[in-house]
Amino acid sequence: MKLNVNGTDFEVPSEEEKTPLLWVLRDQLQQTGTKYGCGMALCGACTVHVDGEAVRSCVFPVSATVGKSVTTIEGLTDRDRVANAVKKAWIDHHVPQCGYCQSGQIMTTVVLLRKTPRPSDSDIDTAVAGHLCRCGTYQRIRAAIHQAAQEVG
Amino acid sequence: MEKNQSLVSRHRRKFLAGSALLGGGLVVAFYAPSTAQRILKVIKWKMFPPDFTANAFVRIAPDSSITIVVNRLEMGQGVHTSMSQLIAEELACDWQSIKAISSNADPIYNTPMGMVMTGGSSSLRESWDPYRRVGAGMREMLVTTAARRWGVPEGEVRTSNGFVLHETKGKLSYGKLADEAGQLPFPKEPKLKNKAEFKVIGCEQRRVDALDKCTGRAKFGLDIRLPGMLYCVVGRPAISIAKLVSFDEQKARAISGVVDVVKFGNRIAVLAKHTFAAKQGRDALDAKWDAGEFSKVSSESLMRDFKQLAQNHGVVAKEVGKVDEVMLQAARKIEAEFEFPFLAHAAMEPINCTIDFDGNKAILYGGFQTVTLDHEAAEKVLGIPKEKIELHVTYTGGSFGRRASVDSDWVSEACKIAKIVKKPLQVVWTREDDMRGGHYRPMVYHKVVMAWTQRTF
Repeated sequence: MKLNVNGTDFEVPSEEEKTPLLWVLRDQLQQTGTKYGCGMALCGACTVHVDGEAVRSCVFPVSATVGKSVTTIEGLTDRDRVANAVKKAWIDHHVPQCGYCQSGQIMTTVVLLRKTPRPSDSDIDTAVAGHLCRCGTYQRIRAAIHQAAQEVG
Repeated sequence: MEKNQSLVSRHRRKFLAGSALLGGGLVVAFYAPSTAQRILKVIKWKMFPPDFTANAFVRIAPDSSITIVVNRLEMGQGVHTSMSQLIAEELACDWQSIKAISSNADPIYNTPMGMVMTGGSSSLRESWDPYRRVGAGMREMLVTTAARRWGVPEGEVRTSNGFVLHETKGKLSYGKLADEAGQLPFPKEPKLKNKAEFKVIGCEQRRVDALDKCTGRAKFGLDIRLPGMLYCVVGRPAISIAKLVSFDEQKARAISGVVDVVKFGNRIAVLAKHTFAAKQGRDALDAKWDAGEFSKVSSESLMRDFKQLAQNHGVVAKEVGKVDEVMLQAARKIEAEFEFPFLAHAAMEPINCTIDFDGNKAILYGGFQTVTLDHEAAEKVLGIPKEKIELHVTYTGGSFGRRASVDSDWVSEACKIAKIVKKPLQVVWTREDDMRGGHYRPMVYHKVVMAWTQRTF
């Protein structure tokens, strides 16, 4: 099974086909920026991009990514204008506290802004509602998304 | 005063010899019993022991980057940033050059509680004076060094943004002065700034951990990866004291990726090449426990017992006047019951502990909130001297009290498994394990009766 993560090909043994993408990323490829929170697609901490769509890697079988490209938080490069604006806004608004959920929050936000460059409050709420933050950074996340949207233009 | 100085030197030597946290450059330990006494007087907290000490360390590297050792766990509350602000304010350094790390269990990092721990909303309050003193003292050492090098009076130099400046001599970066400054004794009475001069404290600063937490680079306990490390998920009974009756080891071993199945006490550890295999293996164990007389105990039955107990008179905390009489004559009475259930702390990052134990020495990694107690727990289980056990405190995805478990349950458990396996391993509590097997916030039942002798409203 060939897996493409952040532009690099990896070989994953075929007996792992049912293993969720999350554990292949974290434990086998040592890309630990993607977090484990619940294992049931309930909290959003494990969100990554598969062919540009935000998916919850904790319930996404690794075999379903064959022939597709996976991007994790580590793969959001400096050349990516949207991702840069999001990260900058996150820092400016002091969004991360414990920070554990923020990789997932950022990954979903990047997809939101690519599809909806000027999101309303309700667009934002709809997009990130399924992401839990135990520190309660929701208001800052919303403000940061507005700033990032403005920056990208 | 001389005694203080020798303590500083002694601690400094001990630190330089014993700690792997920091490299070379200007490294300062501060130990200030007089400060401690003053803090005690100021905040009027009597719970602290008389031998209050407050210690911390800073390193200025040759490239002027600054590492601050924070003797608290960064769990989202921002201590890596706020405590760095205290030092940065007095040190007059460049905020961008600061990196913060958490301390280990070395007693030099003890808080006023007499151990390394985080709790009671005390971090900033207790560090306010000592952390500022270390910044101020280091700044004075850098000033002295620059003035000597230039051959000018100290009064003619000033500091700003990581440089010592002189009108005609120019400027020297802290990094260029650090090694030489480190040879000086720590000033006995570093002069602290007035509040009106603050430029860092009370002013908005970038969180020191923000960038790493926005790029996936920040290492949480669950992100530790050691060569040859096994992932471990544990079979635990629903009621912690239950006896293990049976389990199917073969079913667990049949899962692809499972490497080992180990019984320890009344629990079973399943070790695998990745977390998912370990979880599947654990789920396949089909383990049975017997909780004996406690099998009938439930949250509901306990609440019934609590309510029953509340019918009794109980222990009187304080009595003024004749309460029973007033109750009988009451013109108006309000009775209310308050029920507060057991609660899981449910931190975003489930409980986990990583340990590398080879039989002689051990390194543990995790979000240790009661570092000293966790260190002692590891010593007790592993049966090796404390000096051979190192604790690395990582970032952690929240705690809400759970990581400050008084009996260090999750640390002891990892040590018990490591003692048998003697391979690097990471114990991962699944979300379900974390919710079901935690030390909960206790359940509480209150019954209140209030009475008035006259209708006053």
